Order: sequence, then structure tokens, then C-alpha cells
Amino acid sequence: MKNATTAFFNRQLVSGESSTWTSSGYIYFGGDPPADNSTASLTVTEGGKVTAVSGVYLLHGATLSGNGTIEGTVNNNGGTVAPGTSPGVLSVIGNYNQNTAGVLNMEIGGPTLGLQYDQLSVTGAATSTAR
Amino acid sequence: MNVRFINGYTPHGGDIFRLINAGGTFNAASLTVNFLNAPPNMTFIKSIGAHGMSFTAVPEPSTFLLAGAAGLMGLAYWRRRATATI
Repeated sequence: MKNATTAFFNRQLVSGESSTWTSSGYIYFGGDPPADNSTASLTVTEGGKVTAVSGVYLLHGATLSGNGTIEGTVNNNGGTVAPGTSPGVLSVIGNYNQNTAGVLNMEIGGPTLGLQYDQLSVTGAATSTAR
Repeated sequence: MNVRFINGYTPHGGDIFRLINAGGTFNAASLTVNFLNAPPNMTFIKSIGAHGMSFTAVPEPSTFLLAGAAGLMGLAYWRRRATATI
């Protein structure tokens, strides 16, 4: 841990209506290869909410998914963001930043938003430097 | 960005999929999109707006031509039958 409010995790499931997980600092998922090739997942199902005051960081091997809500800036610096658990809407209250190592995986299985195809919904700015 | 088609779904022309929606500014115009398992004879036009990214399904011209040819053949058959009846 970098400090008392920074936490590294490998696998977390925030599931169910009104389920919450709050960090007063950063939340890190994934590793930093080649020293750390671990995989990590954060799934926030519908009604669930993860709050990270200083932001969520997705590093190499990390996957963020689900229909829930992330409160705080999401920084996809080498991880994968895949809204839904099948098609669904992943909501971010804050900004979304994705660098060249980050991946956004979307699914389309029909014309209905959320039920049949994915959306990343961000209240703030969405920025990607990926090409 | 990877966009995967699932469950054997084939969009209709004009279907719109808003995959990224931002309340603030959207700055990812250079994002490369890889379509996986995409239906044949269909292209997807990327629309970049100030607040998000959408894709619109558009049938390829060859699909229009095939549909048009089938329609003409049907019309010719109908006219031949109509003439024979008279």
C-alpha cells in the first residue's frame, strides 16, 4: 500500500441493490508487468456502487465490469472496461480516462440500450489517448 | 476499443448504438474500433459528438443491389403472370 488510504485488490464483487464499497483514497486493480502479471477483477452489479475519492486505477490484467456505478474518476491505464455482465450500462460519476494500454470492450446483441447493447455512461469527461 | 456482436444479432439499417455517453466533453475521436463477429453486408458509421460516440448500421451497397434485383425479378414475374391471365 502506498498510504493508509490506498488499497490494491485482486478480486472484488460489489453485488446487489444498495451495496457499496467506499475508499477515502485510491483503489488500484491489477499489476505492473513484468514484476506483477496478476489478474484482477472488479464487478459492480446493478444497484451497487463503488466510491473512490481519489479515483479507481485499472492496471495491467484488471477488468472492470457490471451494471453498477463507480463514483470517482476511472483511470484505465492498462486494464479492460467491459460494461454489463452481459450487455449493460456501467455508470461513472466522474471522469473516465483511458491511455494507450487500456481497452474498452463493448457488446451488441440487439437494439435496446442496456438490455441488448453496452454503454459506458460518464457524468464528466471521457478521454482516451488510444488509437 | 473492441465491439463484439453477440447472440447472432444482425442490425437493421439505421439502427443506432450509443456506446459512450459523456455528460462532459468527449475527447476520444482517435479511438480505434475493432469490430468482432460483425454481421456480413453491414457497415457501421462512427459518429463522434461533443458528448459521446455512436455507431449507425448501414447496409452495404451490394445488399441494396441484391434487394433491388430481387424486386425487379418479382415485378417481371408478376407482369408475365398478369399478361397470361388476360
